[in-house]
Amino acid sequence: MTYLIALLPLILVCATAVAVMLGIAWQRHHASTVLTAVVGLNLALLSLVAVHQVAPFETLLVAVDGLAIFGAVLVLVSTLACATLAHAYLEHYRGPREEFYLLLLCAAAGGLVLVSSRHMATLFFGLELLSMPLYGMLAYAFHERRSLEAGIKYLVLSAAATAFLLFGMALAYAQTGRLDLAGLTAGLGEGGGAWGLAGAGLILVGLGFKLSLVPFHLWTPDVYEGGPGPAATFLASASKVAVVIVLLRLVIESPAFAHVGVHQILAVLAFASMLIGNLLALTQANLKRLLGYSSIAHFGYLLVALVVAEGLAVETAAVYLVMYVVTTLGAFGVVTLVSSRDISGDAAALHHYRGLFWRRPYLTAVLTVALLSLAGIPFTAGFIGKFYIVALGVEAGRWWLVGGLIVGSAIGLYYYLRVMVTLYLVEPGMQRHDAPHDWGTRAGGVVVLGLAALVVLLGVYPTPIIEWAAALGVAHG
Amino acid sequence: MSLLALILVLILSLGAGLLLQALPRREHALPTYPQRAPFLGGGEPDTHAWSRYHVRYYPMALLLIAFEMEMMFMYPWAVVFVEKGAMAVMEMGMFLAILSVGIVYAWREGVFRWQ
Repeated sequence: MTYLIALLPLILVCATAVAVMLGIAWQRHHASTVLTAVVGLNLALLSLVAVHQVAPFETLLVAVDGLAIFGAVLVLVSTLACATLAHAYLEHYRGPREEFYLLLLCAAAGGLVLVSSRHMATLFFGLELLSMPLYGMLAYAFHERRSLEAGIKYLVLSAAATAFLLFGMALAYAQTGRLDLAGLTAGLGEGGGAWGLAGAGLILVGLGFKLSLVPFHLWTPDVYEGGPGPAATFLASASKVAVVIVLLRLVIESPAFAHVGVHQILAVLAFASMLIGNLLALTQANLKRLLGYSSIAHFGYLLVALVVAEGLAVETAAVYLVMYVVTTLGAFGVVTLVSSRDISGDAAALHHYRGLFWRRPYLTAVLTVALLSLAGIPFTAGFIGKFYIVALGVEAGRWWLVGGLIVGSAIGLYYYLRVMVTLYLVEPGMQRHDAPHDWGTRAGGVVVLGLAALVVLLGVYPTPIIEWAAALGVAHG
Repeated sequence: MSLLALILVLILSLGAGLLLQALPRREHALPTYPQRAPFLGGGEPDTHAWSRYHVRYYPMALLLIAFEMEMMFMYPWAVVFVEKGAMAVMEMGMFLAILSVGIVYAWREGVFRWQ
């Protein structure tokens, strides 16, 4: 019975996916498909309360602990937001619309597996279940060149990264003969020897690709730009959260990742991601590409917590993740809503947003709040997250990383402000390229407004999130 | 010692890659047109080798997964069944049920219709 309760969210999401599939087979209906998906996801979210009661629960394959529940909440909330945004986005889409939710639910199930994995088998299985539907989601508008290109690019590059990941696992297995994290921890001992170290490095490459850390970041802007709005939103939020949580678990538990060499590599990756991500974002004329580069920089910031990996590291990473997810969902949500009437491609070029304030003031307010939060201005959620990272870096004496963060934020402020100024410019003969008139009363609009309110609320009163993050229990194998 | 082996593997793979780059691509120049045309029993090929064609194998491959892949799992399952009994039957039943939902979906999407 405990098994069933602990795995209830996963079971519910999978059952919803099956139900949606049967529903499509029986009769295609957009609204009812969305309704089924949203109800299933909400039930899964509610079931997490029951999971919390049985919380430190471990089997050989999964560990349902505080960190896993935290990750599951973030994954499910982002999936919910993506589902409602997809409803607005796909309404005018010609072609099959219902399969998108099927893919979304499968990817969410993969994310749930990934956040609670404590065995290389579940890690790999979860990662693939998360990525495979994403190929389809990114190439969903396949009659458009860019979307198809995004899907194929992500497929090919992600397959290469998966090969690295698998080879890393094979090396770690060769060294220890075990695949579960506890066994790896015991087998590798202190440091882990050359093979264990090489395995850890290769696993880091595979996961770093999914997080688009700097030497593995080349796919990010193209895929963000080409993929349909809701798919890019999912990629930027749920997919990355799940991978960060699994990386956090690896860094905390596995001694091969505690090795000095691996830590130096992580520090270099973090520093490079912050600077290069921000520098490349400077000249972008496309909002989705800009958000893609800014996400590279943000995961550079987040990596500081993993480099330190002691003291408040888990709490910092958790707080930063919440702030990042809420903000990113808001920003991408606005882009998706503005693009929802478009016939060919998403409205992501900056000139589409020129003077948006004079046409859709409230939507512009949402985007402004999200951008301010991404830039880390006080009284927004992003500030709290960045404050935590700086405090952690200073505490651990990682001055290079703190310096990189400050320089990166300064550069970031420039291009976020550039977008904001564009929003308020007036121009005669402006392009009528925006959200439908009644966007605010629809599900997608309500979600976006709620997210903006949450960004401000968490920026002013972050105590609940901080308390939650401080109480996260990580099950030690 | 193993670090040395690791570095050796790295150097070897790097060397092989560079060697492939450095090797001359083609000894002779390409033959001119009549010799270069693909052999087709004397006739002229009327499509290019890279021409597009409808890949109907793709849904076929997916169908094969839906119909046949569970057989692969059923052999080891037969061994487990001896130990676990009814519980194994239930688990396999759930797996087959989910797979058959896929078949129902494919059927409704018209995969079985011969076009």
